[in-house]
Amino acid sequence: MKHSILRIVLIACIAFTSLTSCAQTRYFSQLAELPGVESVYIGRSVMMLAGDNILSNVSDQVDLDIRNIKSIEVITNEDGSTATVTRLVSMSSEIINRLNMEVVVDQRCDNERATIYVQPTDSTYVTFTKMVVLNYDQSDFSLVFIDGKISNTALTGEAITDDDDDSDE
Amino acid sequence: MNKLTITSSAQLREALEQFYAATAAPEVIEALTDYFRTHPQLDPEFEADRAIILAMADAAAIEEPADMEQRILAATCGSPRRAIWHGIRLWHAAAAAVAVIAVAAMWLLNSNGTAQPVQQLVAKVDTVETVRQQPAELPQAQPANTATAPTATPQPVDAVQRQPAQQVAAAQPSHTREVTDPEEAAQILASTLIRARQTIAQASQAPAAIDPALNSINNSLNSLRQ
Repeated sequence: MKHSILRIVLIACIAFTSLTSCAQTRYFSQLAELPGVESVYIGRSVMMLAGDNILSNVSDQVDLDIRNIKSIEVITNEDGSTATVTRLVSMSSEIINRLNMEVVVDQRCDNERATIYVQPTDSTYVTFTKMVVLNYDQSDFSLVFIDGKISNTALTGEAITDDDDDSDE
Repeated sequence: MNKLTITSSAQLREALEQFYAATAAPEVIEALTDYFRTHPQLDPEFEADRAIILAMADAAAIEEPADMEQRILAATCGSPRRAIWHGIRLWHAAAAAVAVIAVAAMWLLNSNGTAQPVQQLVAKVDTVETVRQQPAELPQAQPANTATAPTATPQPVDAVQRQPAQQVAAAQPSHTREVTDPEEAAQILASTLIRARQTIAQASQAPAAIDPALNSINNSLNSLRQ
C-alpha cells in the first residue's frame, strides 16, 4: 500500500515537473490583457539563439551573457489614457509585491516616476534573479521585466572582469 | 520377489534395447541403474548409456512437493487475496493516470496562454504579431494602493472611474508581440539596462541637488535663532 501511494505521488511529481520544465511563466500577462496595452514577450529560446557577443554588438555599454536571461516582458500603454496607467500601476505593484522584489531606485521628477526593483540572488546583492524597470507619468506607462541572472555590474555600468564572467557561469 | 541383476554384456545390451524401445519393465530399469552405479569401469561404448540412465534415475529421485499445484495457482491467478491486490493496484494506476491528466489540464487551463512551451527554436526568425481582440471592459475601482499610484494625475481617480464604459472600451485592443529575433531581444535588453543605469545615475546625483536646499533651510533656521 505504501509503495502504491509513493508510486502515485512520484508519478504526479514527475508529471508536474515535466510540465513546468517545458513551460515559461509570463508574470505580467494580466497587464497585457488590458485594452490599450501593448506587450512584448521574449522567451528563453530567443536568448539561446543569440550568439556570444550579440549584446556587445548591439551596444558597447552592456556586457552581459544574454543566455543567462530566461525571458523579457515589456508592457506599455499605447492609448495615453490616465485610467489605463492607473490600472497598470496598481496591477504591476501587486505582482511586484508578490514577487518579493526590492526597490533599488525610486525617482520622482515632476509627474514622472521611475522605479527599479530587483530580486537579489542572496544577501550579497552581487547578482539578481529578476529585475523590473518601471516608468510612468500621467499618460504613459512602461514596464520592463527581466527574468534571469543579472550581475550588479550590468546595472552600475562597471566593467565586468573575466573573473565575474566565470562566476556567472 | 527376485531382484533382476545384469551379469553379462549381452544382458546389458538386451536391457538397454528394451529401455530405448520403451518396453523395459521397472525391474529392468532398476537393474540397469544398479549395474551402472556398481560398475564404474565399463567399456567406453556404454558411457553414454550410463549418463542417460543415471541422470534419469536422479531426476526420478526428486520428490514433488505436496503443495506444488497450490503454489503454482497462487503464483498465477488462483489466489483470491492476490486477485484483490491486483485489482487494488489497477485502481491505483487508474487514479494516478486521472491525477496526472487533471494536473495537466488544470495547469494548462490556469495558464490561459501564459505558459508556452519552448517552441520557437526552429523556424521563426521574424517578429510575429498577434492581436487579441478584447471585449468591452469597464475598469474596476482602483485598489487602495496609493503608494504606487501616479503622483500627479490631471484628473482625480473618481473622475476616471466615472468615464463612460463605451469611452474606455473604445480604447485600442491589447497587442502582444512575441519577439523571435535575437538581435531585437538584445537591443531591448541593452536599452533596458542602459535606462536602468541612467535612472540610478540620476538618483545618485539627487543628494547633491538637495544640499543647496538644506543650506538655505539651515540659514533660515540660524537667522531665526539669532
